[in-house]
Amino acid sequence: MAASITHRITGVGLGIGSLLLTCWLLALADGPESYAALQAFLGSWFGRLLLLGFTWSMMYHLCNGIRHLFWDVGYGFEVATANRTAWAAFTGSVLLTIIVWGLAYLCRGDV
Amino acid sequence: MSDFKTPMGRVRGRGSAKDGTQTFWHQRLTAIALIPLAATFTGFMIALTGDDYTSAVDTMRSPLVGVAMLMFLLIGFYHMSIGLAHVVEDYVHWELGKIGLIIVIKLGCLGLSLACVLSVIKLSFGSAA
Repeated sequence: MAASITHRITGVGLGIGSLLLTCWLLALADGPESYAALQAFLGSWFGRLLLLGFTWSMMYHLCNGIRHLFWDVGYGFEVATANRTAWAAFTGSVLLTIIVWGLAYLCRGDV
Repeated sequence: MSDFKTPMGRVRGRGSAKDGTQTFWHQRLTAIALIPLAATFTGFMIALTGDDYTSAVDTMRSPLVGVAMLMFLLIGFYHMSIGLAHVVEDYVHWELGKIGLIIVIKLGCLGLSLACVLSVIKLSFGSAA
């Protein structure tokens, strides 16, 4: 139940994230001034919060989406299994988010 | 004898989405494609973190990066237009509002994907910054 609605909420969240991605690509294509302005926004606490939400939404939607694909071919419908995989998707998404941000901060070189 | 439709022809394309099972299948197809594409995209964005304008533009000039980005964007926006429309179909029961929102979603996804595709192509063909 909770996993199902979270799948939809993160899906809508990814819609907001796609606006960020579009702005990022447009700014990069537009030139250094636009790119610097966008980077400054994304680097602010609010920008980082949006990016963190975007990352977790994508990781959750990815993990839980795989769960849905297994359901589509008829696996994992038992209540115990469904509950276990729901928790696995949630835990996996949090771990993946931590890994992605850890690697990103390593790439920045200012941990 | 006013109706020559077969029972199958009468029900085909019904349902709130008015297009039968096609979007259901397309949503699964794009979902599968998006697993490796989203992983590639995430790795790409991690690699770009902290890069300045010059190196970001240089990275985007690689044809491989361009193709991977275009695949992710086009398939992703298509998946998103189906998914968001599906959410609206489930929760908005006022027909006029539902249709209005679905038009906004479909046109919005098309507009956003075109903006992204144009940017990627411009960067792909652009000179080094």
